Amino acid sequence: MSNTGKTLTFDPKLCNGCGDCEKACETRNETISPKSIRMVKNDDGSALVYFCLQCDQPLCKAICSTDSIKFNESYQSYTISDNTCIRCRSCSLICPYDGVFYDNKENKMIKCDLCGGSPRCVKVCKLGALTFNVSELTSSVKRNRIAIGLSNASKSGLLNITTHKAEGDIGFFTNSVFNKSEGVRKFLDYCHGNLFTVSESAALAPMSESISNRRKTMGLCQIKRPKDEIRILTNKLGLGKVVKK
Amino acid sequence: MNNLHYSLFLGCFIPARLPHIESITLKVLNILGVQTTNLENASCCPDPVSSTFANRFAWHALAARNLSLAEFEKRDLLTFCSGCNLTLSSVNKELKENIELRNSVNDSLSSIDRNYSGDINVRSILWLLYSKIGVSEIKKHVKRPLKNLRVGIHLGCHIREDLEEYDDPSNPQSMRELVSAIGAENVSYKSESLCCASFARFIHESKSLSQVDEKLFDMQNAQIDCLITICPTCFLQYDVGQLEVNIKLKKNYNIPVLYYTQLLGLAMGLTPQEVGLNFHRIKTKRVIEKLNI
Repeated sequence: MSNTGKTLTFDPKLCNGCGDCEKACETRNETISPKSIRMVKNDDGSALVYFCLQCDQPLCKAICSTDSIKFNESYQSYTISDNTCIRCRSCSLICPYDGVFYDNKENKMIKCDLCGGSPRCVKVCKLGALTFNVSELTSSVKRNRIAIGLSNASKSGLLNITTHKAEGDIGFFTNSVFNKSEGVRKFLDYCHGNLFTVSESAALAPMSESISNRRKTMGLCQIKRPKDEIRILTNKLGLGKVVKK
Repeated sequence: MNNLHYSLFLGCFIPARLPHIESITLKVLNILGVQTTNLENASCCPDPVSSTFANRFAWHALAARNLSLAEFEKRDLLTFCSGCNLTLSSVNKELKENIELRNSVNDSLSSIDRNYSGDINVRSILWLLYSKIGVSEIKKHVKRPLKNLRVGIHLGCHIREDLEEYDDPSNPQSMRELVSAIGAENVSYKSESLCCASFARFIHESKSLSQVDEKLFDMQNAQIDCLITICPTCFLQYDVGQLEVNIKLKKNYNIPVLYYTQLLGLAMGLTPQEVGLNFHRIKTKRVIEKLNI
Protein backbone atom coordinates (compact mmCIF):
# COMPACT_ATOMS: atom_id res chain seq x y z
CA MET A 1 0.00 0.00 0.00
CA SER A 2 1.40 3.38 -0.90
CA ASN A 3 0.58 6.50 1.04
CA THR A 4 2.96 8.95 -0.52
CA GLY A 5 3.07 12.14 1.49
CA LYS A 6 0.73 11.03 4.29
CA THR A 7 1.86 11.93 7.77
CA LEU A 8 0.72 11.01 11.24
CA THR A 9 0.15 14.15 13.29
CA PHE A 10 -1.04 14.92 16.78
CA ASP A 11 -2.95 17.98 17.95
CA PRO A 12 -2.66 18.41 21.73
CA LYS A 13 -5.62 20.83 21.78
CA LEU A 14 -8.00 18.03 20.80
CA CYS A 15 -6.58 15.29 23.04
CA ASN A 16 -8.41 14.38 26.25
CA GLY A 17 -5.87 11.76 27.34
CA CYS A 18 -8.20 8.74 27.02
CA GLY A 19 -5.27 6.48 26.08
CA ASP A 20 -7.16 4.56 23.37
CA CYS A 21 -4.29 5.16 20.94
CA GLU A 22 -1.84 3.36 23.24
CA LYS A 23 -4.23 0.42 23.64
CA ALA A 24 -4.82 0.21 19.88
CA CYS A 25 -1.06 0.27 19.31
CA GLU A 26 -0.47 -2.52 21.82
CA THR A 27 -3.03 -4.74 20.12
CA ARG A 28 -1.89 -4.06 16.53
CA ASN A 29 -0.80 -7.69 16.24
CA GLU A 30 -2.62 -10.78 17.48
CA THR A 31 -0.68 -10.76 20.71
CA ILE A 32 0.16 -7.75 22.88
CA SER A 33 3.09 -5.86 21.32
CA PRO A 34 5.26 -3.16 22.88
CA LYS A 35 3.78 0.29 22.28
CA SER A 36 5.34 2.49 19.61
CA ILE A 37 3.16 5.42 20.66
CA ARG A 38 3.41 6.74 24.21
CA MET A 39 1.22 9.09 26.16
CA VAL A 40 2.34 11.38 28.96
CA LYS A 41 -0.31 13.06 31.08
CA ASN A 42 0.49 16.48 32.48
CA ASP A 43 -0.58 17.78 35.88
CA ASP A 44 -3.03 20.21 34.27
CA GLY A 45 -4.98 17.34 32.66
CA SER A 46 -3.56 17.81 29.19
CA ALA A 47 -1.83 14.89 27.51
CA LEU A 48 0.99 14.51 25.03
CA VAL A 49 1.66 11.71 22.64
CA TYR A 50 5.06 10.65 21.35
CA PHE A 51 5.66 8.65 18.22
CA CYS A 52 8.12 8.50 15.35
CA LEU A 53 7.66 11.54 13.10
CA GLN A 54 9.24 9.82 10.08
CA CYS A 55 11.69 12.73 9.67
CA ASP A 56 12.92 13.67 6.22
CA GLN A 57 16.53 13.43 7.37
CA PRO A 58 16.34 11.12 10.36
CA LEU A 59 19.13 11.29 12.90
CA CYS A 60 18.38 7.69 13.97
CA LYS A 61 19.18 6.45 10.48
CA ALA A 62 22.35 8.51 10.33
CA ILE A 63 23.64 7.26 13.69
CA CYS A 64 22.87 3.58 13.07
CA SER A 65 26.20 1.84 12.67
CA THR A 66 24.71 -1.34 11.21
CA ASP A 67 22.53 0.49 8.67
CA SER A 68 19.47 -1.23 10.11
CA ILE A 69 17.05 1.68 9.67
CA LYS A 70 15.72 1.88 6.13
CA PHE A 71 12.88 3.64 4.39
CA ASN A 72 10.20 1.13 3.54
CA GLU A 73 8.58 2.28 0.29
CA SER A 74 5.42 0.26 0.72
CA TYR A 75 4.93 1.32 4.37
CA GLN A 76 6.10 4.90 3.64
CA SER A 77 7.92 4.80 6.94
CA TYR A 78 11.34 4.09 8.38
CA THR A 79 11.56 0.58 9.75
CA ILE A 80 14.20 -1.19 11.83
CA SER A 81 15.50 -4.55 10.71
CA ASP A 82 15.59 -6.83 13.76
CA ASN A 83 18.04 -9.16 12.05
CA THR A 84 20.82 -6.63 11.70
CA CYS A 85 20.01 -4.36 14.68
CA ILE A 86 22.47 -4.99 17.54
CA ARG A 87 20.33 -3.24 20.19
CA CYS A 88 22.95 -0.61 20.88
CA ARG A 89 20.11 1.92 21.37
CA SER A 90 21.98 4.78 19.69
CA CYS A 91 18.83 5.61 17.71
CA SER A 92 16.81 5.98 20.87
CA LEU A 93 19.47 8.19 22.43
CA ILE A 94 19.68 10.56 19.49
CA CYS A 95 15.98 10.88 18.54
CA PRO A 96 14.92 14.40 19.57
CA TYR A 97 11.26 13.38 19.75
CA ASP A 98 11.60 10.20 21.80
CA GLY A 99 10.20 8.27 18.85
CA VAL A 100 12.30 5.11 19.20
CA PHE A 101 12.06 2.93 22.29
CA TYR A 102 13.92 -0.08 23.60
CA ASP A 103 11.72 -2.89 24.84
CA ASN A 104 13.44 -4.76 27.60
CA LYS A 105 11.07 -7.72 27.56
CA GLU A 106 11.37 -8.47 23.86
CA ASN A 107 14.93 -7.12 23.64
CA LYS A 108 14.25 -5.07 20.56
CA MET A 109 13.90 -1.53 19.32
CA ILE A 110 10.34 -0.35 18.85
CA LYS A 111 9.34 2.33 16.37
CA CYS A 112 6.12 3.29 14.62
CA ASP A 113 5.78 1.83 11.12
CA LEU A 114 2.39 3.46 10.55
CA CYS A 115 0.85 -0.05 10.80
CA GLY A 116 1.91 -0.55 7.19
CA GLY A 117 -0.03 2.47 5.96
CA SER A 118 -3.20 2.41 8.05
CA PRO A 119 -2.42 3.47 11.65
CA ARG A 120 -4.78 1.87 14.18
CA CYS A 121 -4.26 4.72 16.68
CA VAL A 122 -5.89 7.15 14.22
CA LYS A 123 -8.91 4.87 13.77
CA VAL A 124 -9.64 4.78 17.51
CA CYS A 125 -9.03 8.48 18.21
CA LYS A 126 -12.60 9.70 18.62
CA LEU A 127 -11.69 13.37 19.02
CA GLY A 128 -9.49 13.57 15.96
CA ALA A 129 -6.34 14.52 17.87
CA LEU A 130 -4.41 11.98 15.82
CA THR A 131 -4.76 12.29 12.06
CA PHE A 132 -3.18 10.67 9.04
CA ASN A 133 -3.48 12.99 6.07
CA VAL A 134 -1.86 14.09 2.85
CA SER A 135 -2.87 17.71 2.91
CA GLU A 136 -0.36 20.49 2.68
CA LEU A 137 -1.62 21.70 6.03
CA THR A 138 -0.66 18.41 7.64
CA SER A 139 2.91 18.62 6.52
CA SER A 140 3.25 22.26 7.51
CA VAL A 141 1.74 21.55 10.94
CA LYS A 142 4.17 18.70 11.39
CA ARG A 143 7.07 20.85 10.28
CA ASN A 144 6.04 23.63 12.60
CA ARG A 145 5.79 21.33 15.56
CA ILE A 146 9.24 20.01 14.88
CA ALA A 147 10.43 23.56 14.47
CA ILE A 148 9.37 24.54 17.97
CA GLY A 149 11.66 22.00 19.48
CA LEU A 150 14.47 22.33 17.03
CA SER A 151 14.46 25.93 15.91
CA ASN A 152 17.95 26.36 17.23
CA ALA A 153 19.23 23.21 15.58
CA SER A 154 17.89 24.29 12.24
CA LYS A 155 20.01 27.44 12.22
CA SER A 156 22.81 25.27 10.93
CA GLY A 157 20.62 24.38 7.97
CA LEU A 158 21.16 20.70 8.60
CA LEU A 159 17.63 19.62 9.22
CA ASN A 160 15.70 21.61 6.63
CA ILE A 161 13.19 22.70 9.19
CA THR A 162 11.24 25.92 8.91
CA THR A 163 11.40 28.00 12.04
CA HIS A 164 8.05 29.70 12.40
CA LYS A 165 6.01 28.75 15.39
CA ALA A 166 2.54 27.25 15.25
CA GLU A 167 0.18 28.62 17.86
CA GLY A 168 -1.03 26.28 20.52
CA ASP A 169 1.31 23.47 19.63
CA ILE A 170 3.90 24.29 22.24
CA GLY A 171 2.58 21.57 24.53
CA PHE A 172 3.63 18.94 22.08
CA PHE A 173 7.15 19.28 23.32
CA THR A 174 7.49 18.52 26.96
CA ASN A 175 10.51 19.44 28.97
CA SER A 176 12.26 16.26 28.07
CA VAL A 177 11.91 16.89 24.37
CA PHE A 178 13.04 20.46 24.82
CA ASN A 179 16.07 19.37 26.80
CA LYS A 180 16.88 16.79 24.22
CA SER A 181 16.48 19.15 21.31
CA GLU A 182 18.79 21.55 23.12
CA GLY A 183 21.17 18.63 23.30
CA VAL A 184 20.76 17.94 19.61
CA ARG A 185 21.48 21.59 18.89
CA LYS A 186 24.70 21.31 20.89
CA PHE A 187 25.51 18.09 19.06
CA LEU A 188 25.00 19.68 15.66
CA ASP A 189 27.12 22.65 16.75
CA TYR A 190 29.75 20.14 17.74
CA CYS A 191 29.44 18.42 14.35
CA HIS A 192 30.06 21.66 12.51
CA GLY A 193 32.74 22.66 14.97
CA ASN A 194 34.40 19.30 14.61
CA LEU A 195 34.57 19.41 10.84
CA PHE A 196 35.77 22.97 11.12
CA THR A 197 38.51 21.89 13.51
CA VAL A 198 39.47 19.11 11.13
CA SER A 199 39.66 21.62 8.35
CA GLU A 200 41.37 24.33 10.35
CA SER A 201 44.10 22.37 12.04
CA ALA A 202 43.85 18.97 10.33
CA ALA A 203 42.83 18.10 13.79
CA LEU A 204 44.26 15.32 15.62
CA ALA A 205 43.00 15.74 19.15
CA PRO A 206 45.16 18.39 20.82
CA MET A 207 48.29 16.91 22.30
CA SER A 208 49.29 18.05 25.75
CA GLU A 209 52.92 18.53 26.69
CA SER A 210 52.80 15.59 29.08
CA ILE A 211 51.48 13.30 26.33
CA SER A 212 54.15 14.54 23.91
CA ASN A 213 56.78 13.74 26.52
CA ARG A 214 55.23 10.36 27.18
CA ARG A 215 55.32 9.59 23.45
CA LYS A 216 59.04 10.46 23.40
CA THR A 217 59.75 8.20 26.40
CA MET A 218 57.86 5.39 24.73
CA GLY A 219 59.85 5.86 21.53
CA LEU A 220 56.74 6.64 19.49
CA CYS A 221 56.79 8.64 16.26
CA GLN A 222 56.20 12.36 16.02
CA ILE A 223 52.84 13.36 14.61
CA LYS A 224 52.96 15.82 11.70
CA ARG A 225 49.87 17.84 10.88
CA PRO A 226 49.15 18.65 7.23
CA LYS A 227 47.74 22.07 8.02
CA ASP A 228 48.39 23.92 4.75
CA GLU A 229 47.24 21.11 2.52
CA ILE A 230 44.00 20.67 4.43
CA ARG A 231 43.38 24.41 4.34
CA ILE A 232 43.57 24.44 0.53
CA LEU A 233 41.30 21.40 0.30
CA THR A 234 38.67 22.75 2.68
CA ASN A 235 38.63 26.09 0.91
CA LYS A 236 37.89 24.16 -2.25
CA LEU A 237 35.15 22.28 -0.38
CA GLY A 238 33.68 25.57 0.81
CA LEU A 239 33.85 24.75 4.51
CA GLY A 240 33.54 28.12 6.17
CA LYS A 241 34.19 29.04 9.74
CA VAL A 242 31.33 28.17 12.09
CA VAL A 243 29.60 31.20 13.50
CA LYS A 244 28.61 30.37 17.08
CA LYS A 245 25.63 32.32 18.31
CA MET B 1 53.97 -15.09 8.94
CA ASN B 2 55.92 -13.23 6.34
CA ASN B 3 55.71 -9.96 4.49
CA LEU B 4 53.03 -8.33 6.56
CA HIS B 5 53.68 -4.64 6.13
CA TYR B 6 50.98 -2.01 6.55
CA SER B 7 50.67 1.73 6.56
CA LEU B 8 49.40 2.68 9.98
CA PHE B 9 46.57 5.19 10.41
CA LEU B 10 46.78 6.27 14.04
CA GLY B 11 43.81 8.62 14.21
CA CYS B 12 43.28 11.07 17.07
CA PHE B 13 42.46 9.42 20.38
CA ILE B 14 45.19 6.79 20.43
CA PRO B 15 48.22 9.03 19.77
CA ALA B 16 46.90 12.03 21.71
CA ARG B 17 45.26 10.42 24.71
CA LEU B 18 46.22 6.76 24.84
CA PRO B 19 49.82 6.47 23.60
CA HIS B 20 50.34 3.43 25.85
CA ILE B 21 47.82 1.56 23.66
CA GLU B 22 49.74 2.58 20.54
CA SER B 23 52.98 1.45 22.16
CA ILE B 24 51.77 -1.99 23.30
CA THR B 25 49.93 -2.67 20.02
CA LEU B 26 53.10 -1.98 18.06
CA LYS B 27 55.11 -4.22 20.43
CA VAL B 28 52.62 -7.07 20.07
CA LEU B 29 52.50 -6.72 16.27
CA ASN B 30 56.29 -6.76 16.18
CA ILE B 31 56.31 -10.07 18.09
CA LEU B 32 53.74 -11.42 15.61
CA GLY B 33 55.96 -10.38 12.69
CA VAL B 34 53.85 -7.48 11.44
CA GLN B 35 55.65 -4.37 10.25
CA THR B 36 53.95 -0.98 10.24
CA THR B 37 54.93 2.42 8.89
CA ASN B 38 53.15 5.45 10.25
CA LEU B 39 51.10 7.20 7.56
CA GLU B 40 52.64 10.66 7.61
CA ASN B 41 50.62 13.82 6.97
CA ALA B 42 47.34 12.06 7.71
CA SER B 43 44.51 14.20 9.08
CA CYS B 44 41.60 13.21 11.29
CA CYS B 45 39.73 10.36 9.56
CA PRO B 46 37.17 12.39 9.95
CA ASP B 47 34.90 10.73 12.45
CA PRO B 48 31.97 8.72 11.07
CA VAL B 49 29.18 10.30 13.13
CA SER B 50 29.52 14.05 13.57
CA SER B 51 31.32 14.78 10.30
CA THR B 52 28.71 13.00 8.23
CA PHE B 53 26.01 15.13 9.85
CA ALA B 54 27.93 18.32 9.19
CA ASN B 55 28.88 17.77 5.55
CA ARG B 56 28.83 14.35 3.96
CA PHE B 57 30.77 15.29 0.85
CA ALA B 58 33.53 16.92 2.88
CA TRP B 59 33.67 13.73 4.95
CA HIS B 60 34.21 11.73 1.75
CA ALA B 61 36.85 14.12 0.43
CA LEU B 62 38.88 14.36 3.65
CA ALA B 63 38.81 10.58 4.10
CA ALA B 64 39.76 10.09 0.43
CA ARG B 65 42.78 12.32 0.99
CA ASN B 66 43.95 10.00 3.78
CA LEU B 67 43.33 6.99 1.53
CA SER B 68 45.31 8.60 -1.28
CA LEU B 69 48.32 8.95 1.06
CA ALA B 70 48.23 5.18 1.70
CA GLU B 71 47.83 4.49 -2.02
CA PHE B 72 50.99 6.52 -2.61
CA GLU B 73 52.82 4.22 -0.17
CA LYS B 74 51.33 1.22 -2.04
CA ARG B 75 50.38 -0.55 1.19
CA ASP B 76 47.08 -1.52 2.81
CA LEU B 77 46.02 0.76 5.61
CA LEU B 78 45.80 -0.57 9.18
CA THR B 79 43.69 1.09 11.88
CA PHE B 80 43.58 0.62 15.68
CA CYS B 81 40.30 2.54 16.07
CA SER B 82 36.85 1.29 15.07
CA GLY B 83 35.73 4.82 14.16
CA CYS B 84 38.68 5.43 11.82
CA ASN B 85 38.11 1.99 10.38
CA LEU B 86 34.44 2.66 9.68
CA THR B 87 35.12 6.01 7.99
CA LEU B 88 38.07 4.88 5.89
CA SER B 89 36.68 1.50 4.89
CA SER B 90 33.19 2.72 4.07
CA VAL B 91 34.47 5.71 2.09
CA ASN B 92 36.90 3.38 0.31
CA LYS B 93 34.08 0.98 -0.53
CA GLU B 94 31.72 3.74 -1.64
CA LEU B 95 34.30 5.46 -3.84
CA LYS B 96 35.35 2.18 -5.45
CA GLU B 97 31.73 1.57 -6.50
CA ASN B 98 30.40 5.07 -7.16
CA ILE B 99 32.36 6.52 -10.08
CA GLU B 100 30.43 9.77 -10.13
CA LEU B 101 31.21 10.44 -6.46
CA ARG B 102 34.85 9.42 -7.00
CA ASN B 103 35.18 11.91 -9.86
CA SER B 104 33.77 14.73 -7.73
CA VAL B 105 36.06 13.81 -4.85
CA ASN B 106 39.06 13.67 -7.19
CA ASP B 107 38.09 17.05 -8.57
CA SER B 108 38.43 18.43 -5.02
CA LEU B 109 41.63 16.51 -4.36
CA SER B 110 43.20 17.92 -7.53
CA SER B 111 43.53 21.24 -5.68
CA ILE B 112 46.22 19.61 -3.54
CA ASP B 113 47.67 17.43 -6.33
CA ARG B 114 46.30 14.23 -4.88
CA ASN B 115 44.22 11.54 -6.46
CA TYR B 116 42.17 8.65 -5.12
CA SER B 117 42.32 5.56 -7.31
CA GLY B 118 40.89 2.83 -5.08
CA ASP B 119 43.70 0.29 -5.11
CA ILE B 120 44.31 -0.40 -1.43
CA ASN B 121 42.26 -2.01 1.35
CA VAL B 122 41.53 -0.70 4.84
CA ARG B 123 42.12 -3.23 7.60
CA SER B 124 41.15 -3.26 11.26
CA ILE B 125 43.32 -4.59 14.09
CA LEU B 126 40.62 -7.22 14.75
CA TRP B 127 40.77 -8.41 11.12
CA LEU B 128 44.56 -8.55 11.29
CA LEU B 129 44.69 -10.58 14.51
CA TYR B 130 41.74 -12.86 13.85
CA SER B 131 41.52 -13.27 10.12
CA LYS B 132 45.04 -12.65 8.81
CA ILE B 133 47.31 -13.87 11.62
CA GLY B 134 44.79 -16.28 13.08
CA VAL B 135 43.99 -17.74 16.48
CA SER B 136 46.36 -20.71 16.14
CA GLU B 137 49.35 -18.49 15.33
CA ILE B 138 48.52 -16.25 18.33
CA LYS B 139 48.36 -19.33 20.59
CA LYS B 140 51.96 -20.16 19.65
CA HIS B 141 53.14 -16.89 21.21
CA VAL B 142 51.37 -17.35 24.54
CA LYS B 143 53.96 -17.72 27.30
CA ARG B 144 51.70 -16.94 30.23
CA PRO B 145 48.14 -18.28 29.72
CA LEU B 146 45.74 -15.97 31.56
CA LYS B 147 44.12 -18.75 33.56
CA ASN B 148 41.06 -17.94 35.69
CA LEU B 149 40.85 -14.38 34.38
CA ARG B 150 37.17 -13.63 33.79
CA VAL B 151 36.95 -11.35 30.75
CA GLY B 152 33.90 -9.42 29.53
CA ILE B 153 33.87 -8.11 25.95
CA HIS B 154 32.61 -4.78 24.67
CA LEU B 155 33.03 -5.00 20.93
CA GLY B 156 31.35 -1.67 20.17
CA CYS B 157 29.16 -0.55 17.30
CA HIS B 158 31.50 0.76 14.62
CA ILE B 159 33.38 -2.52 14.11
CA ARG B 160 30.19 -4.37 13.08
CA GLU B 161 30.45 -3.51 9.39
CA ASP B 162 34.02 -4.82 9.36
CA LEU B 163 32.86 -8.14 10.85
CA GLU B 164 30.81 -8.93 7.74
CA GLU B 165 33.96 -10.22 6.06
CA TYR B 166 35.05 -12.72 8.71
CA ASP B 167 32.42 -13.04 11.44
CA ASP B 168 28.70 -12.85 12.12
CA PRO B 169 27.93 -9.19 12.99
CA SER B 170 24.78 -10.12 14.91
CA ASN B 171 26.52 -12.80 16.98
CA PRO B 172 30.24 -12.09 16.79
CA GLN B 173 32.63 -14.82 17.93
CA SER B 174 36.01 -13.50 16.72
CA MET B 175 36.85 -11.60 19.91
CA ARG B 176 35.67 -14.52 22.07
CA GLU B 177 38.05 -16.81 20.22
CA LEU B 178 40.88 -14.32 20.64
CA VAL B 179 40.20 -14.16 24.39
CA SER B 180 40.09 -17.97 24.65
CA ALA B 181 43.31 -18.22 22.63
CA ILE B 182 45.27 -16.51 25.40
CA GLY B 183 43.79 -18.74 28.07
CA ALA B 184 41.29 -16.31 29.61
CA GLU B 185 37.66 -17.11 30.35
CA ASN B 186 34.92 -15.44 28.27
CA VAL B 187 32.10 -14.18 30.46
CA SER B 188 28.82 -13.05 28.89
CA TYR B 189 26.76 -10.33 30.53
CA LYS B 190 23.29 -8.99 29.93
CA SER B 191 23.80 -5.73 28.05
CA GLU B 192 26.80 -6.85 26.01
CA SER B 193 25.71 -5.27 22.72
CA LEU B 194 24.71 -1.93 24.24
CA CYS B 195 26.43 1.10 22.71
CA CYS B 196 29.05 2.88 24.87
CA ALA B 197 26.94 6.05 24.27
CA SER B 198 29.96 8.30 23.85
CA PHE B 199 28.29 10.36 21.11
CA ALA B 200 25.26 10.87 23.35
CA ARG B 201 27.46 12.89 25.73
CA PHE B 202 26.84 15.84 23.42
CA ILE B 203 23.08 15.37 23.42
CA HIS B 204 22.11 14.09 26.79
CA GLU B 205 25.04 13.70 29.15
CA SER B 206 23.03 12.16 31.96
CA LYS B 207 21.45 9.58 29.63
CA SER B 208 24.89 8.74 28.27
CA LEU B 209 26.26 8.20 31.77
CA SER B 210 23.26 6.14 32.86
CA GLN B 211 23.80 3.87 29.86
CA VAL B 212 27.42 3.39 30.97
CA ASP B 213 26.09 2.73 34.48
CA GLU B 214 23.60 0.14 33.20
CA LYS B 215 26.33 -1.74 31.44
CA LEU B 216 28.79 -1.56 34.35
CA PHE B 217 26.03 -2.86 36.63
CA ASP B 218 25.55 -5.93 34.41
CA MET B 219 29.31 -6.50 34.23
CA GLN B 220 29.60 -6.31 37.99
CA ASN B 221 26.78 -8.85 38.35
CA ALA B 222 28.60 -11.16 35.96
CA GLN B 223 31.69 -10.81 38.20
CA ILE B 224 34.15 -10.04 35.44
CA ASP B 225 37.76 -9.23 36.30
CA CYS B 226 38.23 -6.87 33.38
CA LEU B 227 36.54 -5.51 30.26
CA ILE B 228 38.12 -5.77 26.82
CA THR B 229 37.57 -3.23 24.04
CA ILE B 230 38.96 -2.84 20.55
CA CYS B 231 38.08 0.84 20.16
CA PRO B 232 39.70 3.83 21.92
CA THR B 233 36.41 5.72 22.21
CA CYS B 234 34.73 2.80 23.95
CA PHE B 235 37.88 2.40 26.06
CA LEU B 236 37.69 5.99 27.29
CA GLN B 237 33.95 5.76 27.90
CA TYR B 238 34.42 2.81 30.28
CA ASP B 239 37.74 3.89 31.81
CA VAL B 240 37.34 7.65 32.31
CA GLY B 241 33.53 7.32 32.05
CA GLN B 242 33.49 4.77 34.88
CA LEU B 243 35.24 7.28 37.10
CA GLU B 244 32.61 9.85 36.14
CA VAL B 245 29.78 7.43 36.90
CA ASN B 246 31.36 6.71 40.28
CA ILE B 247 31.56 10.41 41.12
CA LYS B 248 28.37 11.80 39.54
CA LEU B 249 26.04 8.86 40.17
CA LYS B 250 27.71 7.94 43.48
CA LYS B 251 28.59 4.40 42.46
CA ASN B 252 31.52 2.30 43.42
CA TYR B 253 32.51 0.34 40.32
CA ASN B 254 35.99 -1.04 39.98
CA ILE B 255 36.16 -2.80 36.62
CA PRO B 256 39.53 -2.41 34.87
CA VAL B 257 39.27 -1.76 31.12
CA LEU B 258 41.92 -3.06 28.73
CA TYR B 259 42.48 -2.75 24.99
CA TYR B 260 42.77 -6.29 23.61
CA THR B 261 46.47 -6.00 22.72
CA GLN B 262 47.26 -5.13 26.35
CA LEU B 263 45.78 -8.44 27.45
CA LEU B 264 47.59 -10.20 24.60
CA GLY B 265 50.84 -8.56 25.73
CA LEU B 266 50.36 -9.91 29.25
CA ALA B 267 49.78 -13.39 27.80
CA MET B 268 52.97 -13.02 25.73
CA GLY B 269 54.86 -12.56 28.98
CA LEU B 270 55.24 -8.78 28.96
CA THR B 271 55.11 -6.94 32.29
CA PRO B 272 52.11 -4.81 33.43
CA GLN B 273 54.38 -1.77 33.02
CA GLU B 274 55.25 -2.76 29.45
CA VAL B 275 51.59 -3.11 28.46
CA GLY B 276 50.89 0.30 30.02
CA LEU B 277 48.55 -0.73 32.84
CA ASN B 278 49.92 2.12 34.98
CA PHE B 279 48.21 4.73 32.79
CA HIS B 280 44.63 3.64 33.45
CA ARG B 281 42.12 5.77 35.35
CA ILE B 282 40.46 2.67 36.81
CA LYS B 283 43.26 0.87 38.62
CA THR B 284 44.22 -2.48 37.15
CA LYS B 285 45.42 -4.01 40.42
CA ARG B 286 42.67 -6.61 40.26
CA VAL B 287 43.98 -8.05 36.97
CA ILE B 288 47.57 -8.08 38.19
CA GLU B 289 46.59 -9.82 41.44
CA LYS B 290 44.42 -12.38 39.69
CA LEU B 291 47.26 -13.28 37.32
CA ASN B 292 49.73 -13.25 40.19
CA ILE B 293 52.31 -11.18 38.28
